[in-house]
Amino acid sequence: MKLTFLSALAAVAMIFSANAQAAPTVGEMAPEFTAVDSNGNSHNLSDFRGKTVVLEWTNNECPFVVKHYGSGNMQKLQKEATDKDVVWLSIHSSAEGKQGHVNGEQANAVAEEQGANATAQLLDASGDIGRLYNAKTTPHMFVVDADGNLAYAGAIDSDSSFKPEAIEGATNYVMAAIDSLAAGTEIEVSSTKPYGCSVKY
Amino acid sequence: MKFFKVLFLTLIIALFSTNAHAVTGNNEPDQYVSVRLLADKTDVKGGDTITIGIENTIYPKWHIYWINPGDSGTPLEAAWTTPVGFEFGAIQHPIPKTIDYGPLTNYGHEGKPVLLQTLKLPDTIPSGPITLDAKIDLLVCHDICIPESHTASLTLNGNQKAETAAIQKAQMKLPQKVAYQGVIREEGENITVTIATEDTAAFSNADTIRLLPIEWGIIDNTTKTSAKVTSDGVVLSHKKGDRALSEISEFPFAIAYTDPAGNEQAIELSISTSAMAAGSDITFIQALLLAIVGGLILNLMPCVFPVLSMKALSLVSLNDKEEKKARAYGLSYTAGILISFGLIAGLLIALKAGGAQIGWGFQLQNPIVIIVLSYLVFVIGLNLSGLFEFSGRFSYWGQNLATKSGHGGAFWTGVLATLVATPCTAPFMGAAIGFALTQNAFLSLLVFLGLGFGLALPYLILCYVPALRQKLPKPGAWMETFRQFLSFPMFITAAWLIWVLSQQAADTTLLATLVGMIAIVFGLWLLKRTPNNSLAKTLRTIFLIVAIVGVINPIVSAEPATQSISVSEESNWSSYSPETLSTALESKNPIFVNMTAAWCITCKVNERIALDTDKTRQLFSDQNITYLKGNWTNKDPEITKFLNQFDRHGVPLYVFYPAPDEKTGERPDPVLLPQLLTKNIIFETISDFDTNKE
Repeated sequence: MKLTFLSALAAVAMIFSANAQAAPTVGEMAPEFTAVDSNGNSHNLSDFRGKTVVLEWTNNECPFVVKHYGSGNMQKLQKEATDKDVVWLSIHSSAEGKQGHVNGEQANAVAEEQGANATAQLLDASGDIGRLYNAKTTPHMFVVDADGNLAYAGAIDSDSSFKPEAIEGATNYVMAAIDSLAAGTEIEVSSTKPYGCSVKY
Repeated sequence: MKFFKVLFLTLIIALFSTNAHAVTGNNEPDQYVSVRLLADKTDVKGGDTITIGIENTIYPKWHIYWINPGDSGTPLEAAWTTPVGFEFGAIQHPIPKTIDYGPLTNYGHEGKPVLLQTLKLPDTIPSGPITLDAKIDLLVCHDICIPESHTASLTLNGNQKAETAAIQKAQMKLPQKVAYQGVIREEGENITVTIATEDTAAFSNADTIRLLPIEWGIIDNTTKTSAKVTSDGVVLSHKKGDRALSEISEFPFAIAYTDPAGNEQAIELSISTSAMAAGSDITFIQALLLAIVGGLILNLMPCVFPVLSMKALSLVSLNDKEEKKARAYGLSYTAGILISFGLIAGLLIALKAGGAQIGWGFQLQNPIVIIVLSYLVFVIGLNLSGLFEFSGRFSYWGQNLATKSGHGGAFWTGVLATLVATPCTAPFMGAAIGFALTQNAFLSLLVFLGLGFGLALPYLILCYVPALRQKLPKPGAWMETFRQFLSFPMFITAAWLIWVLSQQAADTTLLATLVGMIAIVFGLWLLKRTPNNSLAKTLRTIFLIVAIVGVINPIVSAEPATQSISVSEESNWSSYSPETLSTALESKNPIFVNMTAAWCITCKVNERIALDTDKTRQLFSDQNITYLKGNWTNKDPEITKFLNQFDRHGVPLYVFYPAPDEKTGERPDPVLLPQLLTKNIIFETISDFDTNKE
C-alpha cells in the first residue's frame, strides 16, 4: 500500500518535472547554456548574472533580419542596450549547409559589415541552444534579467511586416523590457508571437 | 609560367562559380509568385457586393502563409487603391497545408491558392470602367524566405470578364463557418476542444483531423491533433503551446478533416475561453487536499456515520495484544474503500473518455442504483434496530455490521461505506472532483483515491493508535441502545432515496420499490422461522421465493418518470435550457442559474436556507432577476455541458449573470457563487452589480 502510494507520488513528481523542462517560461529561470563565440571564447549564460542579457536569434540572409539591420534599427538597439551595461548575444543557429550558417570568421565578417554592436556572436550550428529556448524565428528575442529569470520572449517589435518602413511607429518590446528592468517596474508586454523566417535548424 | 597557372586556376574558379550562378539563374524565377486578380462579377452597379479573388501562382514546393502562419512566416497583405466608399472585407484563406520544417511547423498554401475578399460598393459609383489597384506584399518560402511585392489590378465595368466559377471553386476551399457550441480547456499538457455537432459522420476519418487555431501560440504546432468522435460531437486534444489559454478571451479556430468521400474539408468557429477561467484555479495538491478533507467529512454524513460508529465500537473489544489484528483491519478497510473508489472513478473516467456527457453523481441518475441503495440502507437500518442478526449464511455481512470483526469483514465495510457515501455529496467534493475530471486519467484517479483515503482515515487512525481506542467508551448495555438509535438515520436516508426515486421513476416503480422493502422484511421474518414439518418447510420456501421476486421486481421493471416535474404557478423560476438562457441573455435583466438535483443534499439545503426564502424571492423580484433552474436528477447532456463550461462536473452550481452595462450594453462575465450558499452571499454578489445602487 505504502509502496504504491510512494510510486504514485514519484510518478506525479516526474510529470511535474518534465513539465518544467518544456519551453522556457517568462518569469521562470532562463535555461543555462554554454556557447562558443566567433572568436573561440566560451560563455555561460550564468557568467552574466547581475546584468540584463538579450538573446537575439539571427540569420543575416533572412529578410526580416535584413529589415532590422538594413535600416540600422538593430545596431541602434544594440548600441543603446550595451551602453546601459546590457549584454547582447547574437545567436546563429542555422545548420551547416542552410541559409545563414556561419563559422567564427564569417560571423565576424557579417557583424563587421552590419556594423553590429552586440557583445558577442554565438555559434550554434547544432541548434542545441535554439531548441533549448524553442527559438522559432529570426529574429526571435529573449531578455533575461539580472537574476537569470526570463523577463521577455517573442518578437522584436509590434509590427510583423518585413518592410523596413514598418519599424517607425512600431513598439519595440525589447527596449521596453530593458527599460522596465532598469527602472524596476513591471514589464508591460512580456510575451509576444515572434515573427520572421524560421530558424534554419 | 606561374602567372599563367594562377590565371588558369582563377578562370576555372570563375567559370565554375558563374556556372553555378547560371544554374540557379536558369531554374529559379525572378519572382516565386505571380499574382492575378479576379471577381465573381465585373459588371456592377452601386450598392453591389462582389467577391474578389487574389490568385497566387506559386513556384513548385514553395509556399505562402495562412492567416496563422504557425511558427514563422507572415500572411499576405493587400493594400487597395480605389475610389471613395469602396469597403473591403478581411482576406479569407483556403484550408491550409501543415508544412513541417524539422522542429518548426508552418501553416500555408502551395500551388495556386485563391484568397478571397468581399467588396461592397457605395450606392453611387463612377460611370465607366473602374480600375482597382492592389499592392500585395507576401512572403514566399521554401528552405529560405523571399519577400515579394506585387501590383495587380482589377477592372470593373470594363473589359475584364467575370470568373464566377473560379470564385465559387475558391469559396468551396474555405473553411465553412459554423455556429457549433464548444468548450476549450487546458488539461495537463494538452489543450482540449470539445465541440457539439450532430454531423459527426463527416469526421469519421478521425486521424485526418487537424486543429488549426487562428490565434498564435495556443497549441504546439509540431505535434499532431488527436481526435475522438463521440455520439454528439468531436473532442480534439492537442499539445499546449507557449501561450497560456488565459491570455485570450475568444478562441477562433478551424478544424480540417478528410470527409468520408476523401475530400479535404474544414469548419471554422469561435468559442469563448472566459467561462473556463473561473473554476480552474486550484492546483493538483490543493485538489488532493480538498479531496481528503471531503472524504473526512463524508464520515459524518447520516448514511455513513452509523455504519462507521458500529465498526469503531467493535475495536473497543480488542485488547492491546491484538495490536496487529487492529492494524490489519484498518488496512483491509482502507483497501475496501480505495478499491471501490478506484472502480467508480475508473468507470467515470472511461465513460468520459468515451465522450459521454456525465459528471459526478452520475451513479445516482440511474433509478436502479437508487433502488438498490435504498434497499441497502433499509437493510442496514433493520439490522441496527435489532430486527435480525446476520449469522451463518450472511457471515461476511455479519462480521461487518455486528460487534464481531474480521479481515474480510473490514474490507466489505469499506466497500459498504463507499456505497452508502455516494448519495451524500460533501460540499468540498465539488471543486476537487471538478478538478479531477479535467486532468488526465492518472491524476483524476489520484484525486478520487484521495477522497477515499479521507473517508478511510478516521477508522485507520483508530486502528493504528491504541491510545485513541482507549478513549472510546467501554462496552456495555448502552451499546445496544446506541446501535438501535443509529438505525433511524439509516431509515431517514432510505426515505430520502425513495423521494429521489419518486422524481426519477414512474409511480408504479415507486410502489414496486416500497413493496420490495416490505418483501425484504417478510423474507427476513421467514428466515427467522424454523419450520418443524415438511409442509411448513415447503410453504416457507414458496413464500421466500415470492419475497425474493418482490425484492427484485422493481429493479427489473423500473420505468422512467412519464413526465418531468411541472413548474407550479407560484414558483419564481423557470426551467433551464440553452434556449431559455440565451433568451434571457438577450434581455436586460440579470440572470441567476441554479443547477440542482433531487439527490443532491447540498443543493436542497442551499435552497431551503438561502434561495427559497422570502427575502431572496423579494430580492429576485426587486432586481428583475430571471431565475433559471436546471434539474440534473436524471441524465441531461445540456446541463452537463453547462456545468463543463464552468469546469464543474457536478451539482450544485450557482451562476449569476449581472445585468448588461448601461453604457456599453455588454454583460460583465458571469460570477460563480460558492457551493455552500447563505442569504448574505447571494445578497452581496447581487448588490456588487446593482446598477441602482448609489
